[in-house]
Amino acid sequence: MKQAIGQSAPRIFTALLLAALAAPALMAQRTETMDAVVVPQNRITMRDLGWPPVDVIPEDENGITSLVVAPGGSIYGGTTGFQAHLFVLKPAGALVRPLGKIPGAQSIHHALVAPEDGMIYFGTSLWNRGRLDQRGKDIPGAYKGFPGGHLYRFDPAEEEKSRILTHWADPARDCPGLTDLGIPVAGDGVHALVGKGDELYGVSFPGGVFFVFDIAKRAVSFRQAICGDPIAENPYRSVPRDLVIDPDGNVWGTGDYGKFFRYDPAAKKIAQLDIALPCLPGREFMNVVDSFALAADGKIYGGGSDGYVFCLDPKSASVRNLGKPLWQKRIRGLAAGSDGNVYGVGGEEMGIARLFVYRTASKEFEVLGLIEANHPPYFNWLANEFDAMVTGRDGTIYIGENSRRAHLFIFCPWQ
Amino acid sequence: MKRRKILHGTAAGALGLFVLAASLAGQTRMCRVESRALPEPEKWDSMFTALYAASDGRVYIGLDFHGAGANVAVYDPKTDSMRLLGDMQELAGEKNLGREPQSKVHTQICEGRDGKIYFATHLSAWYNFAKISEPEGLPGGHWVVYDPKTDHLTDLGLGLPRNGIITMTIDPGRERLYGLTYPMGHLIYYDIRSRVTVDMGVVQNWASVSRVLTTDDRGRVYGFYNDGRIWRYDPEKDRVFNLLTQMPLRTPGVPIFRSFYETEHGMMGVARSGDGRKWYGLETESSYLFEYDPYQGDEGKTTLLTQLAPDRYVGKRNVPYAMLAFCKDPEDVFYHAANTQLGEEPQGIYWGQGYGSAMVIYDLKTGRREDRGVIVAENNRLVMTPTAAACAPDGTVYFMAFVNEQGAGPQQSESVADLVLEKKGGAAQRGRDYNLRLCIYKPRSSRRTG
Repeated sequence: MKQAIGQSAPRIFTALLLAALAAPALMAQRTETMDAVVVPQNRITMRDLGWPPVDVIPEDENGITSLVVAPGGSIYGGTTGFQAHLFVLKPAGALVRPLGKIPGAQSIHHALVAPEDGMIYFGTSLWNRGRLDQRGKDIPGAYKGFPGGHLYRFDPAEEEKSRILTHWADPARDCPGLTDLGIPVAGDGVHALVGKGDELYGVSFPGGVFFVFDIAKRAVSFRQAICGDPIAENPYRSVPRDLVIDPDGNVWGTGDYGKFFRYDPAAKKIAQLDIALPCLPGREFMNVVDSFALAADGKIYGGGSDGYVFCLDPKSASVRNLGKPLWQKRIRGLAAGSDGNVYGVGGEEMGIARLFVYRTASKEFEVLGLIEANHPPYFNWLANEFDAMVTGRDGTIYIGENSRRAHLFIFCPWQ
Repeated sequence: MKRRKILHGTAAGALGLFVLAASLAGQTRMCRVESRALPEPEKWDSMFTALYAASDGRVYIGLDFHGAGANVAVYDPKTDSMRLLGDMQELAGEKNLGREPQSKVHTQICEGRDGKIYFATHLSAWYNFAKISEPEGLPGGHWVVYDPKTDHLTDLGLGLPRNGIITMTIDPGRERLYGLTYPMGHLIYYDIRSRVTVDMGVVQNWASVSRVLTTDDRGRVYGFYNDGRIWRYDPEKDRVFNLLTQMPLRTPGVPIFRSFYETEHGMMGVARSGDGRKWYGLETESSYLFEYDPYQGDEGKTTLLTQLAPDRYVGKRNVPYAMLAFCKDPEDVFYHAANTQLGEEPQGIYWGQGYGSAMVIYDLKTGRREDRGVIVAENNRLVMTPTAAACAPDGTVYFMAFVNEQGAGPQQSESVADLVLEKKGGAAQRGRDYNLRLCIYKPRSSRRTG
């Protein structure tokens, strides 16, 4: 018996050792080994959109597809799903406050603007959710009979007056403080919106019409198509997913083949340029900008559908390909950090997103990990897809998850 | 080598008998079952959930093979024989892809009104998301149908790209299969008539994706989210609703073992009432058996029935993680083949398992709960880590577990990884202490022995 135990002990030990090494790979549960592949948990957390379990923006209505920082520092967000909602987070506070539903709207997609007048402007659209087997072909069809997405002005002060003081936020109510500014492009949704001074600049989907909206006059003052018919087998036109305003007030976006256009508000003219988003050669016909971020030095950083990150110098109208931080395509969020670096989130539809940083001084990418907020036993959530990202006034970065059960992630960068 | 193996086997057997006798001295009940070896028994390193006793009496078993193709075995009780249906990797036509294979059949196996048998495939490789959403990863799990009349397997196509299909249920009336995907936790459904898969989006976090789904008599589909709350997919509205209804459970932070890391809590086993108007769940962390009645109130109501854990764990903190070996017979008796310690051996860190398993039952008609004792197979061989159960129309309870081939233990597995590793690298080097077997329990002829 003693000899047998002696013989079996090393074998059992070996089996146990191998099991310990392989166990994390095989157990497929959230254990401490996951800490090595996610953003460090002392740097990231998340918030529900409301006060769970009741007063939250409902599932299937809370995908975050727009974020903006208001002049006072509050973070406003817009959602997409069966019903679009507006929400706000005051950074010094802990809770995200749902502000209400936007009547008749399914989506606020990259279309929140917060100018100095203290108002919030936004544009609406349809959900643009298609069937798996249709590969996007069914999405333009949803716009048949659609009157068009609206532009709205939201007055935060009016909303605050409307609150029932003894009750927490009611996500089911229509958002108070809204003024309907009309439909900028008939039959199309507002796909991206930026603004400066008294003007809002947007692009519509699926038509791909660039428009200028004069806030004071409450009228569209300029419209022009910036892309043509769908190219090759693309299910819809090459409509840019974002726009950006450079320090001189020019508005930038992309059109067919990912080529840049620039709108000059003084001349009221669009220039179609010969520079384009980086992509794999041969894939230009699918090339669309995903996200822009304006850095403090006036350079414009952006991410494209092929997953490349670039730097656009608006003064010289030149593009520098910085590379591709991830295997996956798409750069669905980008934010210029207060530390001079550029933070981004990449990942495809039905993929797994990862956070990365482009360190501008050393000109290198660093992949920071999967985006998860782990606070056992209360919550552990790994977010798969994102579609919005902004940098707050104090350098904190907010990342909006886009899924059926979405959360607002809060990330504190480090050097 | 041969002599060492014999010595090892004999010593293990002798030591095991000594340990078993000692531990059973304080616990006199034994629940005797028969067991049947699987075809190619050395090959299958695990199985979970995928066990079904069909209306014609045959029993279908999903078998996993980490790193290679899964399979489904069919046991025919009339002939007392078992055979394999086919390699899932071959069926999917993906052997030349150089990607993660269809290594598991992990879903509940379902039967259509025409007697066809449905299931789906799943991934095995994991590695902290290293291959998910990358070119080497699983292309996606496949929906599969087997027609017993023609003995033909058909691949119905891929469900959701990059995801395995970890569980499944069926709405025979609407001819739909509903699945949960892993790791992204989406609810998807496959319309059998139109052959289209629809993605309803994320319902759960990856670390807690439910291993079971169920439906009610209206074809509404149920799962769980957050702290034991129930979500419901309503096909009339084509939308998933996160209900506030909550199943009975202990406060998160109290359950230990695997539950400690999970932040969405729910059920590990489900069974429907005969008319489909209610369903029953086995809550994962505490082995609470509860009833859900969707017709009470707008969102339905749950009622705690009992704690379906072995006697020694009732009311205690160290309840082992509930196993998937849960089923109900036609007379509304529930069966749970649960992990248990035999004596005071340390519990495994993963499931809280010990050296054995125990059969615990609950009779809905009388409200009586009974721990029927340590499960043993032929020659008092210990039965460990049960991972699926199904009840046949004749009341026979079938379940899958690891049966100790060397005798009565004490080869406790540290974790499921340990069980899987047993299958790698050659049986001759490590010995074959336990293999997956089909266990057969006939409740009316098996009673407590003391």
